[in-house]
Amino acid sequence: MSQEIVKQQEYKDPFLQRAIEHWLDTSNELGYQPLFCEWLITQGYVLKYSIKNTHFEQGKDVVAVLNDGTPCAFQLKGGSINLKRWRDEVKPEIDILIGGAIQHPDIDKAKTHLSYLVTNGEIEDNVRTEIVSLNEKAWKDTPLHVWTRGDLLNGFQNMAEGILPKDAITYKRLTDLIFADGTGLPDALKIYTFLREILQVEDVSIKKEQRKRNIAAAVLYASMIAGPYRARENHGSVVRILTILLSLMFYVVDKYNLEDRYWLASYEIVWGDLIATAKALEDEVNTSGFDASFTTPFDTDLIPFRKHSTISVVYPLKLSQLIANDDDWKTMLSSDLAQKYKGAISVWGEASLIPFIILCLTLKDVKGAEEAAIKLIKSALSQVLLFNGRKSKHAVGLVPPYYDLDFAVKLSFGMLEEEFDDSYKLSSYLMKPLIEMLALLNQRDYIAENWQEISYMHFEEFIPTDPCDYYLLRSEAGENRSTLPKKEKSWSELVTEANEYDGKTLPPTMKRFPAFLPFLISIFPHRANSETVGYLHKIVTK
Amino acid sequence: MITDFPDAKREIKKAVDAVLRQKVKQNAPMLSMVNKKTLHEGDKMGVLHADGRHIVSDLQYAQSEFTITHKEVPTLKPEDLLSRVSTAAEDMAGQIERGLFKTIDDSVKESGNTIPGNPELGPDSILTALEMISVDFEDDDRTKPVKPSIVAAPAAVEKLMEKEAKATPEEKEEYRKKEEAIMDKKYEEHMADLKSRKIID
Repeated sequence: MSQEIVKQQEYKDPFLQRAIEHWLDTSNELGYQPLFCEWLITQGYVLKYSIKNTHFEQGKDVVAVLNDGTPCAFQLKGGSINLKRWRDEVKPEIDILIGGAIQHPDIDKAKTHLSYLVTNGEIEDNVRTEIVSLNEKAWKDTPLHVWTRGDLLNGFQNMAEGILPKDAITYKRLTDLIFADGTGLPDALKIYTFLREILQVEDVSIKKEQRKRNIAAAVLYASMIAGPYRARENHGSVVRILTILLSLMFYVVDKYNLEDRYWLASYEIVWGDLIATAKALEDEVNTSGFDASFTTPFDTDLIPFRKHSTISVVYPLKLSQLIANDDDWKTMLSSDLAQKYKGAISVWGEASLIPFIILCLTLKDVKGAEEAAIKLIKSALSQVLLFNGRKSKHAVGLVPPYYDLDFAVKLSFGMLEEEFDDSYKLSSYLMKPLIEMLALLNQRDYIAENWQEISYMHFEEFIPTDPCDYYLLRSEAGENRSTLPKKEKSWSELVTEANEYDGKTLPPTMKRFPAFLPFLISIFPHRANSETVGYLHKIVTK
Repeated sequence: MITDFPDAKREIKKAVDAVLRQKVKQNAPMLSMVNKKTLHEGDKMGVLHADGRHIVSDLQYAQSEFTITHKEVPTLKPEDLLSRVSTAAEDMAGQIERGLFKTIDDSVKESGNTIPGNPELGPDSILTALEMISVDFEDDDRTKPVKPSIVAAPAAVEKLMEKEAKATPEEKEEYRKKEEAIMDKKYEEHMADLKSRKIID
């Protein structure tokens, strides 16, 4: 893998320059903000905060501190600024940017901050002249600095620092990704493969400083890959891309024991972006409901899949907020919202059962919702028995969680390129964690009623040899384990076993940043097993 | 280079792969009878038995090869290609089946579930074998036993067919009655097994 990446400090790849240019020109300020933050970090700034789309920004989208302790505030804009826009929209915000103190506990309000107007477009001559004039007079003591398209382009291009795709295949992969349609699901395998190469995941000889540069480059490339999806406001797909990026970043961090200084700031930017983007999707559904998106007769059969792609982001967001003690998770408790999400869960494979688990974990301790939460897991279990159980007449059964949404759509519409003649009767990857959840939720009667059928099943799971491999789309080393349950099972034994899954075999970053786990098991559903689900249960149980 | 047709090549390759899979299935009857599951990752398979035994084994590979020389390419006919693919498929099927039989053989020997004296395949040995195994009943219905398949060498099967052809109606009726009696017993065992599956404590 390492041979595919070439480090050429001085060489400016014309293709990459054009690609970054294309991405920058088609992004708005929200699109380039995360990468801008990442670039500041590569320049030695310490990022303090980055706000998106709120009324509390006080003219400051991004606040960072220079090495010498000087605070800097940045107002980000998308597109060119002519005199009308300057006077109507931008200048009032710049007045606040310059005049208002930075509100941050680490920053001394008395200390003068540097103010920057940043845009990925140009500033027209008459605006530039007016800024110069203001800097000489009204803003003399705190002049406004301006960074435009050329500055950003140069900065972003330098971020790659020669970490370039070397061969034609990798270039083609990048081209396909950054010029994707943007309305559909991103090609997870292609993105994963490309980012793996950029992060030089397998190369053990790399120094930690280079790993840091690789992470910055991966953030750059992921931003470019997410570009077409951001342009279409396809938030769910952007979250998928960011989840893959974070997953690979965590893999590198755990595998090579990277200290925080090499990666934590980058993580915070990507994580902030992921959460903000997931919230944007939630807002879209909360405002317009699902139906506003279903506009053509061709949508009808695809509605369950489109809804799943949405809930596989919004439900993890809520659980993630609950884990992070962010009260926003409670928005899902409103009856209006419950109505909007009614019927959003459909069953098309074991991967489609993940929202049942996530929703149950979110609701299980909510007064009045306990029964509904338990019912979700019972429903999931009964679906597995119905499709994969001893009495099932279904030819295939629910396909394992390795088969994601994209596969399910292709299978449903006869679009698979290769013959699929697998059968999963008497086999399930999710049954074991589902049973364990019910054991932890004290559902003895339900388990007892169904044990006759459950006991015929083979509980499948993958145990990676190296815990870091939880972050990989596919792991080369590990055991595909089939557990054959006892015919006669002791309830206390079952509860004891369920309690033993407390995350001890999970990688360190997964336990340090548990709020990411709901997104991981949603986007990589095959990583939902006794260990990950049991750990989630443990940390949300008060 | 001379202009190529990569898409067409890809389609041809897909068709050849499909033939290869089909031929493997044809030549591996045991394999075609079992449920196929795809493993997506890892390098080991493990079974954690209800009694706590944990048996882990490496994945077994089945592979074969065939050669087409550069000189042959311009004149190679589709049937020649398919013939070589079929030969490779037979080879792979043989490897898979041998592996499968060995695994079954080892398990049967380990559990001691063999018929003493190595009797010839015939009505008596079939009934004895039936006595020794568990039988499933579709929908737990006595009238729907899921009878096991017999896998045997062609010569043994031929002999069995001859015996059946020569059997008198009385012998056939006697066999049927014996088999039904075994199935009654098996059904009782099946229902008892079903009842034994429960949560205790």
